[in-house]
Amino acid sequence: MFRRLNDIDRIFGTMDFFKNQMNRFFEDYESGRGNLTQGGVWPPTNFYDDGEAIFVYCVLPGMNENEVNIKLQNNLLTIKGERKATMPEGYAILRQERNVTPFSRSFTLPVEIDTEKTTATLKNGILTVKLVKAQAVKPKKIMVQAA
Amino acid sequence: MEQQTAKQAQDSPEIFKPGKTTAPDVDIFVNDDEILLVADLPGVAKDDLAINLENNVLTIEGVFTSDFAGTSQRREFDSTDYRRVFTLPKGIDVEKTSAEFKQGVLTLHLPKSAAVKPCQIEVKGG
Repeated sequence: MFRRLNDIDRIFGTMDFFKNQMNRFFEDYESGRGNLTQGGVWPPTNFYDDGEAIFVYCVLPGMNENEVNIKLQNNLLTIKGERKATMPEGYAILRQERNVTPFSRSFTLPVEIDTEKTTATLKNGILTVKLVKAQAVKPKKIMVQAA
Repeated sequence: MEQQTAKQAQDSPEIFKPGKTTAPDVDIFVNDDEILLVADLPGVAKDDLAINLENNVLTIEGVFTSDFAGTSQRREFDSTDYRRVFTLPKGIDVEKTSAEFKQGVLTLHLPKSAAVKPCQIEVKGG
């Protein structure tokens, strides 16, 4: 009986080994190629928080300021736009990989935002939206006083 | 022959430093005068972009180093190296190639040399 259990253990050990090998294989495969994000939604968007403000980073290569539409309504942030196809006149297409479909992404923000101080910049094809938190939700330092 | 233009040289360089390497998305157009290549390299500053053309092999490389503020709440993209290699057909006028880089989009003009440009042959009636 004991020997049998040991066998089962070994079988599972072997299966684990193969599983790890396969995972490593796929990691290697995916790291060499693929997009900025793996198969995800467009455009890839990051959220960062430094206490004072929430920063939204959005990958929008080749877009102009007036082609991006950012809307903040209550706690709902919507980033909308469309990249115009850069098809030049009189050329034949050999390869077309760049994304030109219209996009719209909405996010529910976890805190209240001071809409007056919101700024957005576009640099090197990356959009940065700075959403300053409302005074009431900013972190406060509590001083410890000696009794 | 035009299909060969777009054929990507499938080299897999050895990676010496950790981190991701991304193949940028490209559009390639062609007309009688030139090959036009448009590539998305978001996050790359002009100084971090390198275009190398050597023996009909075109290499586009860029570095995107993120400078996100604060702590991550949601992360869908991150710093990456861009790299893509193309084998070009013969007859590209290397001297006259030009490139623009604006908002993370590279536009590369690769003019064909006079020798390979198509020309009309007139048929004379007899």
